Amino acid sequence: MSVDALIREKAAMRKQLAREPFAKKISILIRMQRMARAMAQSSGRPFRGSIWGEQQ
Amino acid sequence: MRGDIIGPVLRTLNELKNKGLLADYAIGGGVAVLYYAEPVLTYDFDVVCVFPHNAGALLDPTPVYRELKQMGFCFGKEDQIMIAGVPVQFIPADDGLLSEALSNAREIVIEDVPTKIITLEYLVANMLKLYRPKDRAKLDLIVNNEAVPLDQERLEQILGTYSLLEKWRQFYER
Repeated sequence: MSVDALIREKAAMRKQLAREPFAKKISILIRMQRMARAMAQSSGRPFRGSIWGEQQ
Repeated sequence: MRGDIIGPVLRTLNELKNKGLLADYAIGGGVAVLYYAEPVLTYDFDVVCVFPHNAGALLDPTPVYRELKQMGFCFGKEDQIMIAGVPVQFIPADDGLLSEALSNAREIVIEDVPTKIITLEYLVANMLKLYRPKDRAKLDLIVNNEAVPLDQERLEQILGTYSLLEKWRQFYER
């Protein structure tokens, strides 16, 4: 796949994400928060964020 | 898909408003950006608000914090309050732009709970005003996504009022 085609595909994916229902976007956000925590933990850095809905 | 994360927060905020502890509020910050654009990593649930006791220069969020503590919610990092597992940050609408943004906030329903959200054009104006790295990153997401419903004419009216048109031009032409 060419770079141009990749850029077009990414732009289309971002347009699609923007149109998703709010609830789905929130569930994606929580996945992003979990990924950020996993990345921090795997590299030994402290995780300073929080995962929404988890007991603190 | 989880549908029970934001509802409890909004119900609590509406309860505070009904009790007269918040004069008004609207969703702002990263969650508002996420509402209009694609999901963006954020940890705070920003609430743009007016406290009822801030006549003149006095700003007193104490009754809100006291009530939330009585309701069983605890304080998180800095001045966040954990409401149903979500760190909520109250941002007083204490300048002209935020105050106008709150007055013009859009009424919406999330998880069956009525609420208000800062409109996209005021969000952009406020991020342009703050212009921190995280604001610039979010501005990029908004500007470079054709699916984001930005009203350019309305935006330019707001930017003109708050002397931000030149900054917008510089950002746009980078």
